[in-house]
Amino acid sequence: MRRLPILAPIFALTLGLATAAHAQGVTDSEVKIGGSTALTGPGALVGIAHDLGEKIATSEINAAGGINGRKVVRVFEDDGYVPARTVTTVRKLLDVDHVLAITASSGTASTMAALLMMEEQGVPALQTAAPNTVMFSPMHKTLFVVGRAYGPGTADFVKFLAARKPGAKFLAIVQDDDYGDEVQAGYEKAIGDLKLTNVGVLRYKRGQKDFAAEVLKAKQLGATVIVSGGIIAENVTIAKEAKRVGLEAQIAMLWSGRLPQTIDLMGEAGNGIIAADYVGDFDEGAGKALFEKARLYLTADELTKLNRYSLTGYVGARLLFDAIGRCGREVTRACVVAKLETTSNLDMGGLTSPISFTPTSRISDLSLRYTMLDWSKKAWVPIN
Amino acid sequence: MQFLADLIVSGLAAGAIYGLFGMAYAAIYKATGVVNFAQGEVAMLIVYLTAAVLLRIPLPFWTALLIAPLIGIATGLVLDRLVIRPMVGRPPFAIVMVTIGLAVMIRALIVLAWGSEPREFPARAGETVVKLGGIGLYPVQILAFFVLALAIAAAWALLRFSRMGLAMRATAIDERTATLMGIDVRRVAAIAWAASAAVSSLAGVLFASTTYVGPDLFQAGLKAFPATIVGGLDSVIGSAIGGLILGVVENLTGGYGDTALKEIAGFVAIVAVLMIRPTGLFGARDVERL
Repeated sequence: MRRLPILAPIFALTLGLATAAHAQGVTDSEVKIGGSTALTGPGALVGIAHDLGEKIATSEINAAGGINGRKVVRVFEDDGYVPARTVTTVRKLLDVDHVLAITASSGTASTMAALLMMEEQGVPALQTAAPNTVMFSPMHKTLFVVGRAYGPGTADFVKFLAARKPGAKFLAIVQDDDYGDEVQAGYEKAIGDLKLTNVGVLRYKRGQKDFAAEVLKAKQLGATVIVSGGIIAENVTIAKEAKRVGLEAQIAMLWSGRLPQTIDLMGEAGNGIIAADYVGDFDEGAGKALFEKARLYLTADELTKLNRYSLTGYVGARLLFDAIGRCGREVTRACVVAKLETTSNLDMGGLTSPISFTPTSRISDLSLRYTMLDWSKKAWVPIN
Repeated sequence: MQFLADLIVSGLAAGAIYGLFGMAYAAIYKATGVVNFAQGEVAMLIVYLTAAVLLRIPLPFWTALLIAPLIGIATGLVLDRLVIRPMVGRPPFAIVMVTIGLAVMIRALIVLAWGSEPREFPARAGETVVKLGGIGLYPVQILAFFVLALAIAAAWALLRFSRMGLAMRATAIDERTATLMGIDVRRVAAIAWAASAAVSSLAGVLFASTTYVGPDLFQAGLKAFPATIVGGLDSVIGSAIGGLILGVVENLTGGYGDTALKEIAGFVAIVAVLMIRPTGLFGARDVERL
């Protein structure tokens, strides 16, 4: 018993050294990462697809021997697209699962809700599905955003449309939330920059299903290009209403509505809609090659659930694996953050434009590509 | 003028579906004095069940308007037997809370059983736009008017001329006296739940075929709640008219005012109507609000 006071500091020192050698979520044989998205509820269309994208990337790297000999283990939690639940799931990932990094959180509100907790613990976190400006401006040390921010993305899109349709009368239909605010800001910036004709900005309540009044108003105002700031179902209803009231305007929407399910739901009314996105498609180029690879790792049922958010999930995971890999065997959260912020022109094989960050910027602004819905082929056809 | 006509007709098209939901709320309230806050969820469940049938047996759209009410009647009777009848004699507030619990259960059940992806209703009513006096409507929207008209006629005939309608009216006036007069109030409640589910199933199918089948379909029922308050919570036909009013008010607000106010227009209408007529436009008796 008398030897205990002497042994205690030795024991504590040993424990401390062990902790230093193995950072949170890292052992000699594995690296544990975590994510939290909506795997149930209406947001699951996005969350499940994102999860599957990460699953492909993880299976791929593990099949190649892991990261510097360590297998990647993923823990994915369901937050149902509810920010309050994201706080709980992220806390569980950090305190119970002891993950090294957080690869996903449902949307802007969810990410912001869990941000303080992640920042306090220095956890590297990625957001590749909802590139909202509030997440990187002002800069948050450990949060890295990949995509094209909604505002600048909308501005780019409007400029593209203006070049395609000279003399067009523009109108925007936007949601009454942070997403809608940013889309509206980007829209108004492009209108101001190019001195385009704006006939109106119509705001709608989130969750709204009937867009008759908005579309009739657009027709009444003589709009020839409608920038639809809906998420998924809203774009469907706006397209159908436009067909019903005989509004022959070019409908344009951001990436959130560019899902296979949207094509089916819009039916013929969706023909000719233009969409902007910062990732490609599974039926062309690099996306097609990835789909073939996915066949090795996913079940037939899982393959049917892939969509553009699988590409964002895949790209995010690849980015994180690259940073972890550059840390060598001494993987710590601080090292991963340092490597992420020095990522330069990381090639994604054509799925997106190359990814880069700097020590003073936490957004990797990706190039947009534009596609038009061809109803006869039920596919988005590139137009740039 | 064309703009106004477009707004009104579009509002009536949406209002026809609100009206059917409103009738469903009122049918239960009139017979049992309970507001069923699971009305939208019940309709959603029936739509999913109908869609499941139509996926297995491909049938034309009009059959959905026969299959859904049949499933609705069965669903209404099962819910009455399993959930509502055990609550007989309990305070109305407790029963209302049960309907809220039921709503949450149905929402979870649907995601577990069918997943969360929105999908097309399997039978389509046609995507060709029909022009009526220069106003375009989808076939299903025209159908919604006819379905509402038929539902109003059926409700009027049932309440006015049938023994069951008389029993429902008597129960609505005074349940205890009705019981003493030999009316089986439990049977009346069961029929009210069945009829309500059948009517809401029609609203659900019509709504789903203009939008999609998804786990947020229940919101259509919730959104129609102001219709029944405006029309009169104890007036089945008044609630149908309330739906039409609500649809038009929403569209006129969005068309001539700020579109952001469209969704709250119904609740503004509630406040305005209740300040003038506390029992709603067609409500006939004092209503205990829960």
